[in-house]
Amino acid sequence: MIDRNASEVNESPNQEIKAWVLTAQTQRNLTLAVILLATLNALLWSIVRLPGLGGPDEAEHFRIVQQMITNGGLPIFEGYGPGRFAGGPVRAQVAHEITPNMFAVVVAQILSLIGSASNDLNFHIARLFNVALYPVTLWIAFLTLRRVFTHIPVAPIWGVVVMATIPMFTLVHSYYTNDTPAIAAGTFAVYATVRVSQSDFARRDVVMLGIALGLVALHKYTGFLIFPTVAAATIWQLARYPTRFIRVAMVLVTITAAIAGWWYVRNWMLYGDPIGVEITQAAVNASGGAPIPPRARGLNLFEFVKETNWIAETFSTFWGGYGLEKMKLPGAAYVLIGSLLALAMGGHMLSLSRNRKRIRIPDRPPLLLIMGVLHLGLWAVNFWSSYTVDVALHGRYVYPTFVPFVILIIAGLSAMVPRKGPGTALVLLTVPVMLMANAAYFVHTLLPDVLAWGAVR
Amino acid sequence: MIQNLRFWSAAQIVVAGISAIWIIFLATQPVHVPVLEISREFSPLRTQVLSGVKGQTFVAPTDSISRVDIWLHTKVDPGEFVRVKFELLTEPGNGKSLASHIAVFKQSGSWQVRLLFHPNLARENDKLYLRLESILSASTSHLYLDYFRENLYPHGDLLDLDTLGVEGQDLRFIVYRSPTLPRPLAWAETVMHNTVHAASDAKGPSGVVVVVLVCVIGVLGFSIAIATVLIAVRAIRGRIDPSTTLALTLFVAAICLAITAGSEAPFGKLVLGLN
Repeated sequence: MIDRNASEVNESPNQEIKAWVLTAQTQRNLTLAVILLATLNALLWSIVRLPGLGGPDEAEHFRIVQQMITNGGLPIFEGYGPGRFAGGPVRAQVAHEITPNMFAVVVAQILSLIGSASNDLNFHIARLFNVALYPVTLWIAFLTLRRVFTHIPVAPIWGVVVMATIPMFTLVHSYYTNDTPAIAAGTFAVYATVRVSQSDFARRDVVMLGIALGLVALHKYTGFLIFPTVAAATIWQLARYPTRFIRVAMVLVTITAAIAGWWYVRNWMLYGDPIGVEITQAAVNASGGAPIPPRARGLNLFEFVKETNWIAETFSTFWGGYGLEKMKLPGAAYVLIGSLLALAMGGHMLSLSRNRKRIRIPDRPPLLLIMGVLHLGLWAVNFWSSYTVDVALHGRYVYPTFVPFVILIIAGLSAMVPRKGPGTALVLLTVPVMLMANAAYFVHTLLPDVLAWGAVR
Repeated sequence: MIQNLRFWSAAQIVVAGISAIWIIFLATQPVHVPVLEISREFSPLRTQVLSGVKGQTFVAPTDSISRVDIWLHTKVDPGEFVRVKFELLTEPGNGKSLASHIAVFKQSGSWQVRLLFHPNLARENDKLYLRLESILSASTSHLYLDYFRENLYPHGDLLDLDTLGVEGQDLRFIVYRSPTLPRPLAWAETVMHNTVHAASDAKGPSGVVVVVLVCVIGVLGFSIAIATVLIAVRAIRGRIDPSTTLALTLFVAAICLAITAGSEAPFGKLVLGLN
């Protein structure tokens, strides 16, 4: 629900003007302007990035599209060549051919119709699809934030601006990758989860959630934490009504399976492995010389973190950068971001201490708890799979739960920042600063990465 | 109420004044367009200047080059000094000296040295040699330079005593040219030049499309910034108050300039004019 109070006109003339400050219409128009800016910005970034080197694994993802155009049908995994991962720092968690990515099918179909003989041009065309997902994701994020923060009109705008200006989030929408559709599907699923929780499982919202879960199931596994989370939230909220619970569960499972089940049946029939992790690991081992996962090497968790610098690397690349040295933010930016996160954490502590006497087990799971499980849980899963399967040193893997992250941050900060008058002004004034910081990253980091001598190409 | 108004007036004056000074200070800084930089994905190492002379050969990537940045480190005990002659020549050995400057370092530290010279000294594809000659007042003083061990720059090398000691090493350096447009358009030129160049490298659309896109993004971003400032003013004052609007606009502009152009401020850098 939007904040109806924000547009109410009070009796006092002065208050009447103050109430205008952020009407629902202003909130929406400003957000739309930010979304348009973010989309054009991602388009600009996509134009200046070298084909195949726009971001992590772009050439590999594009290879799958090319394979579909050339051979027709879906890609088929045929193992890795000898020594494919020998001498390198990483293995593969799941082969690209086995990882679900229905968005790539759409891209391949359209490219086969309008594609060019020039591979470079095809790269740029393929990127446009990922750019086009950016406004979709941002708008769904806005709708989610508007539902969660009905009492803070400035929160949805601020959250969208954060998502529009964090350099890595912009970058991931400007090159061809399977992360972008997973983010869009994940964001949609979070929105549907919030709706279903708030409406107490209204029929339309349950159907929407089923569709969203189906879309998540057809994309990269990084979005899959939504499944156990939705299951737990449904049990929590409906356990007292067994008949209703079974009905809702059946609807969700049926819709999700109808949309995405065929992919896993196909994997099972082709490889005998619906998820594809085991078949991929067997193929990696068979290729010879691949690095051994940290746990299999006998490292304990502390040794693993120390050796890979996992925490610092994933934290820094969550905001900007890929590769070990490429395109990180300046050190001062990380200090500022770290301070903001600490402030948000302090806000949560403050809220808990203020409400400690009123804490009880509610009838429905608190949204903040759901968001915490989704985001922090994905960090934990990412950490564990890095330790046990393949070292994944990048923060973008938790982007399908970016909206939960933004919700957690806003909820924490809102406990520290006054919600009216100067507090609102302070929050709004950070908008142009964030926009400019994103532009500064483009000028000082992204462009030199393309133009610099000696860059690895 | 009156006290409150007075407080806001004083606060506005201070905020607007400091912001305006910072904006004017940055606006008066010379503008240079970066045209050559070694990739930041490589970490530079440090080499000690033991022979007294180090230098880097390079080729002017364009007309009107007017600035070279290098990074050096000094270790100097109290009362001692390191004297360095920075010189731009046409070639190592008997090359013609184009411009030079002598600096004396009396304290230890790390320095980003910004060497400025006249844009008419070299034309595109001219071979150039940046030479550093040092004199240490005591054997305990040291001078180090940032360099790359890999052969990252193909059109020149790091030299020792004006000759090639180890092949394929390069100084950490950035070359800039003078803008062709006057300020404030020169700032836009620094963005446009590299954006169009990168789009061309990436085989993207034509330069006109890129320029139009950058302009649209700029106008839209500026509009959003103005809108948010105006809403912020309303949130504080309940109406659009000109003095608050001006103070907040200057404040936001100052912060935005610090983020984008703050690295061009001379703080923490050694700016030397070569004559």
